[in-house]
Amino acid sequence: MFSTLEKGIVKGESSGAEYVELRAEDTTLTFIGYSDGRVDNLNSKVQTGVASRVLRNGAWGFACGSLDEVESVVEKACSLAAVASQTRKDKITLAEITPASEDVKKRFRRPPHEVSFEEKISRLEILHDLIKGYDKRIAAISLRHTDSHGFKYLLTNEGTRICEETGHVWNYCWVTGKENGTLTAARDGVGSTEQGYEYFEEETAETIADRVGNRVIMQVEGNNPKSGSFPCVLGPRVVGVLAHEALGHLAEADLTLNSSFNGKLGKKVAADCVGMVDAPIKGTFGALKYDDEGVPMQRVDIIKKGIFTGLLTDREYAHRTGMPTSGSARAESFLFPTLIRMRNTFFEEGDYTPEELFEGIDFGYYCVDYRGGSAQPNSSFQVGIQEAFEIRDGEIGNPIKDLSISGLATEALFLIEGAGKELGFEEGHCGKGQTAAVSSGGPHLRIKKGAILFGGRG
Amino acid sequence: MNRLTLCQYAVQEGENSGADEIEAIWMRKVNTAVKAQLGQVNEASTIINEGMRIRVIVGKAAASIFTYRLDKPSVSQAVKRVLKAASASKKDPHWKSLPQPGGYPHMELWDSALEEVNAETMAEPVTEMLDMVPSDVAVYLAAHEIELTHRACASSSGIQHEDKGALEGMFLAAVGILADGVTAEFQEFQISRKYNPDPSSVVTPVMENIEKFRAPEKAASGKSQVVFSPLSLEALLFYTLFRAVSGESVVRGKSKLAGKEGEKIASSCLTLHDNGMEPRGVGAREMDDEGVPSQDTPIIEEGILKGFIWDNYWGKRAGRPSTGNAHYDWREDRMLLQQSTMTINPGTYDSTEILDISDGYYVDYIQGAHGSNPESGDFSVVCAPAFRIRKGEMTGGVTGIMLSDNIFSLLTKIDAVGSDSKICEYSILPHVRFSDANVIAK
Repeated sequence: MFSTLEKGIVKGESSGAEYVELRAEDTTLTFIGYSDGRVDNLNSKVQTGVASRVLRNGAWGFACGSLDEVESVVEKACSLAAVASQTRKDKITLAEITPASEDVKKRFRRPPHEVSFEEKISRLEILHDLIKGYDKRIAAISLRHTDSHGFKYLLTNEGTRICEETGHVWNYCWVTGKENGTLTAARDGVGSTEQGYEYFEEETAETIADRVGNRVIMQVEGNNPKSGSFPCVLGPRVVGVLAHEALGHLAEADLTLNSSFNGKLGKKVAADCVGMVDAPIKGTFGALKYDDEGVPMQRVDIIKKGIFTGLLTDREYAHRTGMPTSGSARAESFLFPTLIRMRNTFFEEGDYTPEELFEGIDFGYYCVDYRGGSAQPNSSFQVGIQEAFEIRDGEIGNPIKDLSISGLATEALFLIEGAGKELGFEEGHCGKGQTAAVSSGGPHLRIKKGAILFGGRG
Repeated sequence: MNRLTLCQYAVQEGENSGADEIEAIWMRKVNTAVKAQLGQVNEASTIINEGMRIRVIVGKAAASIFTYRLDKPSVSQAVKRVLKAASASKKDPHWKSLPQPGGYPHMELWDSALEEVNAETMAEPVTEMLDMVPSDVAVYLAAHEIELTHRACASSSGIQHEDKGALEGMFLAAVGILADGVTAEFQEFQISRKYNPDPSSVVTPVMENIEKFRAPEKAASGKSQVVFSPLSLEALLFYTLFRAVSGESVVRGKSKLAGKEGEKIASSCLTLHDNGMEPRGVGAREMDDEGVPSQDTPIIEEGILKGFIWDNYWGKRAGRPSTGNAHYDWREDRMLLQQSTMTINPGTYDSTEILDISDGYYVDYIQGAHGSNPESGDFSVVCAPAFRIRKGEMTGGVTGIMLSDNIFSLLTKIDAVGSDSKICEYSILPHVRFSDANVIAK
């Protein structure tokens, strides 16, 4: 592969590019859908191709195509960069790195591509039957299994030469509940980029079925939540999405500069008890050794003791902001240029006991699980909630139906009262123009009234 | 090799190797874009996404494969692989057959001028956009794109068809810089089938809205009249109503609209069609991704539910013809039963008249529509950006308000439909005003 890519490097340099980057991919992906007792999709994808990103006269050019046309792909990227550079007042410059040369291997005990379709379908069949049997009010079940295995190759004219084995497994459920003509639904998504098919030995069909079955039945039985601002306790899965949406996106340097957090590095943005990190923690979804610019993935302390201390960068934005490279540049596939992306984003643990998290709350909400989230440059965040309970007199009460919570991070982060002692994480996908595997988490957080608006209908 | 011929080759290979039925669809999408960030053009790109999806049925068990390798030996190998996969799959007793060929509509979806435009020409409107932006506005992204799509489909049931389409798009996302931060993000885009870049049509509305937003207004919780922009309406309907009118949701008991054909489900001023033959729509094409001709499907007429959208499988299961709504989702690699171009008939209210209320809100965009519950129709979203309307005027920006309601209830509370038509990603929509929407403010 590298000998093919080297021809592109030569072509890029001879076309006047100061930086030439080639990313090639050879991946096999499997998608299986299983709905209401039938296989509704059994698809394989052979994903092969090459992407070329070049800097020429201080602007980016990007092109992609098939592996047998590497030189023409690079030539195209160079001519596009020349167009982009025509009106630039300054030149894009990249932060210096030490070029890496490495073959990175996965250690899957059961590589996903070696497991038969029959076995994968059988797991979904068992999972379907367990969910169906969870409660007679479960009306429809949609399951999706995806996995991948392959290699990605990175070669630059600076000397970076990395071959990284890639792969993942993912299971997604969407379950509909029905009672007396009332419909509702809940979802569940779990997966790993660290383990192969053996992941489902821990994350068994029974575990998944109980979790999603419980969620949907609580939706069926739940009360409509009130609207307004209330004190609340957020569980680790919701805290993780809060971290991702409330400040995580605005700590991505390409977004920070046009956001309400611009100019706030070194300043207080949260209560003293708040610490927030984005890091490629081993074993978490989306963590790799190198990013797609060949930079080792690094931990970033975004908030330390309430102070805004770090940004997620790629090489361009590291140079632009003067912050360190963090290894955060990722591309969904060879069809996309890299973007700055989170990896595992989480609030750090505190010292609250479980009792202290809830005590003294006369009325509020305990939010356990989420369904989607979003962020705005003015720090407006939204998190969909699919599992939550009332808090009455310091105790967890009745379940409530789904709703959204929202707030402004510039205000809400100051109203975090305290954090629990144990961290929890969840896996998911972020859709900032491209899809990326991410995880997020944290401890339980107790948050004062005024921070979060509950969009209920009660 | 001609791509339709390559599809036919795949079909022949499958038939010779034991497939009961086989379908091959080749897709090529070429996207050229010039993008600006932080006030300057920073990137030009050409993305070519070209591949073939082959679906086979053996003994009522189906499997498919997508390959980027398009030489004959690779296609032949892909056919062998997918046949092996089908043998591992499960028989579906409901499977009937692949769709039959039909009469394809002719639409003006191709402008050869768009094929000739190069990146250098495309860069000029982007710099024009940037030049029009004042210093107290920060551009997150300005872009000018051209997308050329070609497809070919062949199947063992006799389908042999090719189509192509071209689109030009201009896009701007910007925030107003405030003393203590920034405004919410304002977006505008224009999509056209002809090469006709008009930077001011994108920049002017964004700048006007940012200026209006700078005057902060207060919001109050309670029932209120709310005007939805076409973009915010599309976001809301995409995750609620558009899913509820899918034939799959109906057959599987996941739609609250099941069994309500002929009933009044919305205000009389609402007429909604899924019009795959509307050439302005992004979803316009001669055939769907199973080779079924596109069509104009009435969904709601004057508030009465008229029908649902169907693909080949779910249509045959329900005893209905396909409405040409099979869409291949290359990201999730599965066929989705999905809208082509949902189109709400324009009403009679011009831009002044639709705002003519004593007190209410204008929702420019919403956060969190993707967390809506398509089964129950419940949604709970943040309105960002949004404005207060007082005495028929947008008097300033409101931050942090939410809407929490149910789409099926809200459809009965439409009290005005705008006379405009905005081409959005999945739809062509006017402004729509709802009475008694549930607004939540801090």
